[in-house]
Amino acid sequence: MKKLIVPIKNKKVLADFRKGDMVSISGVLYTARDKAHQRFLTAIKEKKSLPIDLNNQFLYYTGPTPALPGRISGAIGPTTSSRMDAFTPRLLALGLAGTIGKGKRGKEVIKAIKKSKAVYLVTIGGAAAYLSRKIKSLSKVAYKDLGPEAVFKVEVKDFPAIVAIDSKGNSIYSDTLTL
Amino acid sequence: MRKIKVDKITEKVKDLVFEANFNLPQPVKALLQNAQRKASGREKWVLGKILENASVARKKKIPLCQDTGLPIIFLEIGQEIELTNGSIEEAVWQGVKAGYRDGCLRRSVVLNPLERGKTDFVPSPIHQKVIPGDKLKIVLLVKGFGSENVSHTVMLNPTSSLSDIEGEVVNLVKEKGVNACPPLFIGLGIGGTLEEAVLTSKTILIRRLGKVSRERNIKHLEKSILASVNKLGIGAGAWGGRFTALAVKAGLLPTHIAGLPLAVNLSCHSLRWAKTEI
Repeated sequence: MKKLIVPIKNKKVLADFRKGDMVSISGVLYTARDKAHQRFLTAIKEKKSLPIDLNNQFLYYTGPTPALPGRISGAIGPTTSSRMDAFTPRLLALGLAGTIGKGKRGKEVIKAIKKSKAVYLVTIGGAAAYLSRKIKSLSKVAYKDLGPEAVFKVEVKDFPAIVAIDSKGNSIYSDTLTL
Repeated sequence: MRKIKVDKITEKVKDLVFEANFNLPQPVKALLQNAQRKASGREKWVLGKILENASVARKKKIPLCQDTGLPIIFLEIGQEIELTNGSIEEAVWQGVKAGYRDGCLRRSVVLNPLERGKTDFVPSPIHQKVIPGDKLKIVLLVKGFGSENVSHTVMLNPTSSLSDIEGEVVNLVKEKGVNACPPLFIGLGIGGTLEEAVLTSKTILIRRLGKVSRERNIKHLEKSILASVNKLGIGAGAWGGRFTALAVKAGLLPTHIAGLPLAVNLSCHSLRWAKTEI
């Protein structure tokens, strides 16, 4: 099990993470799913700054359930990554170091990952209650009106994943999505 | 006529929301445990985490998945019942709303599919059927959209063979099963009309999980598809392995001479439902 501290210091760190490697993630990540991605891209188009600096950061594709009173986090498992495919290359170009979700990615995303020497990790889909125990803190930081689709800042410890696409563009899924 | 106040439905639906979101049904857990015993290496670890997920959900009242679905409600209403005190649909939605609100579950519904906009707990789909007798049966199925998005319907030619059907299912799993949170439960609706096939592909998993079909053709088809799907190597959690699916259940329906509808309902490993009777 390789340890990954996020955000990373620089992209060179990611060269050690090869497709199929099991990874234990600790540090701070941000969540974003469909609507947050749409807003990121609108901001980029309108030459406005993003609510978070994506450089060397990791985005986790999830929309958590609300936490019960007194608890840190509700259920927080990965959502399907390919829905974010249309937006990901632009974010990688801004320095985004990696994404975490579930499922295959399209060809354009793989190309962009290779180009910016980023990585794509997958965690266990549908293990949302278990994964909630890896969350040390959670707070809404942007697009608060979007409810579960808001951007949350998440502190994780020993969050499990595997490298699905490494910085060389090698994928654990032999056939990529052709959609 | 037996009189039932619809408030009773609200109360029961609320209980079912909790039951389905926090407790993995026993036949599902049994199949996962059986796979975990037989699996090795990383796949054994992933299956262990999926089982741990179920235990955390039950003990800590955290939903099994952050995608708390659209809850789909199936009502079977005895024809000797008179429902009083309001609308049945409203009563169901009140129960859903109360359960999702009090259980801290997710608002995943958008009222307008094109404009999207604000999210809510309801409305949820309701399927009603009138049956003989004076009992009212309620089933609540929670389906996340990771697996709903990759489910599929195709209208085959009436001359299609069993191996054509198998090919459709295996190709679908090969192409998109990774996104549906394997190990999968695969429900098939074969025959009928478009909507009947789809409904059957969902209800058959609830009706027949853990039960072997008495019809030889169906038994053979289910076994054969399960074996082929598990040769794809996708594995539990799509992390690689031999447990891509845990069960295949097929429901046959009378159909038109010109067609053979096939609906393939892919369900994630946390096939969640609860039922009750009034």
